[in-house]
Amino acid sequence: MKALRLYQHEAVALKELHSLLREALARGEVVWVDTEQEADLVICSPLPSADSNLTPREKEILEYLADGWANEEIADRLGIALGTVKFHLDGLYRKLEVGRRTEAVREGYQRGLLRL
Amino acid sequence: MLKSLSNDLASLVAATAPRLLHIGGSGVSGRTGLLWSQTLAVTLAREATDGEEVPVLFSGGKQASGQVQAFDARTGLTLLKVSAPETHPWAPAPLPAVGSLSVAVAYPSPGGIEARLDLVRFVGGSAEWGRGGSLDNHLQTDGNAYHGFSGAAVVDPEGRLIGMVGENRSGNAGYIVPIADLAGHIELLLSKGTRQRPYLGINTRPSGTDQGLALTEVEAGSPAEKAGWKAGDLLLSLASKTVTHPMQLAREIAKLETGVSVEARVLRGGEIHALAIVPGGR
Repeated sequence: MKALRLYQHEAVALKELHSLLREALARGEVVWVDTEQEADLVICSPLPSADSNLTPREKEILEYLADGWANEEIADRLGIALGTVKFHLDGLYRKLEVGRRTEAVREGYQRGLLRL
Repeated sequence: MLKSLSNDLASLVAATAPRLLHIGGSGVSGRTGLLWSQTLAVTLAREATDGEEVPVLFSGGKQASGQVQAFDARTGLTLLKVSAPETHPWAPAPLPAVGSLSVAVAYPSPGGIEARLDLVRFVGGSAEWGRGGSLDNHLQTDGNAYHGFSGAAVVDPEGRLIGMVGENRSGNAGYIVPIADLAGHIELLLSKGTRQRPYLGINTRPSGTDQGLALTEVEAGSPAEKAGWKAGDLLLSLASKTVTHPMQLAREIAKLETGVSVEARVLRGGEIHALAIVPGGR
């Protein structure tokens, strides 16, 4: 995927920026401001999902968290021990840099990890 | 006075118990169900499939099996066909006043009935229930989230049913589904059958501007793909609501009806396209 990133320290003439945007839009590319990337403007197509390196199990558990399932219910559903659920939660929290399940869900949505 | 209060509470619990059932077998989280009639029980579940058999235990000790009749994926409300040994109809209570007492009676494990004395903490107007469900009244007690109290009966001092212990994201702490709302939802579920949760098949990220959400993935064969949505599009509005955040979009999707087309506007290549979508269910 090709992405063009514009940073604050890069001086871009307004005219140049204008033509960059026009060309990008004509190509059907997405232009957005991405504070996470520390860039002011990013042009690319398609927009990438933030890769958080979650394991398939962690992704699955994140979906259950978003649906409000309790740890015991997740353990029942997946047929794994409660301790194993907590182990996966630890990994999930660490990778999403959060401390609580509600924050994990918010971060999951923010990073485009939850399917709607 | 204390002795008489204690005796009254114990009688209240004893009178409520025959109207409850325990749901769950080995390896399944135990839940409480309300006997709605001799052939219908009501409970809350995370998932259920029509026709699925679930072990149930009536308060007299009779073991049986219930069959899922309908399930609402938005609220978790689950109707089970049962054959109860006897019927004890519920008398509905009016909406209680803040500060009045209520007793939650549950049957969380085969071990027996459990009870919780609560104070009605809040009574208000409409509230969300689960994902995409709604209540006419928001009712909350100061009750703790005890294991297996989801689906428990909440009765007033006269033994009338105030509602059923519901759940929010942090468990069953004090959230009550009022009897009027419960009866309405049961009737709807009986007439319309199982309701799946609306699904579009997309992953999104905030666009970084104050409008639209960028589609990062569109699942093959999904309702979104069938609607002509593509990864890289900016979703501007769905069902005439402007979308700005994935969590807000999730709430809007939850309110949709599966199989019913809704308006959507998508920005692609600098042009706005009207690409209506028919939400699927899951």
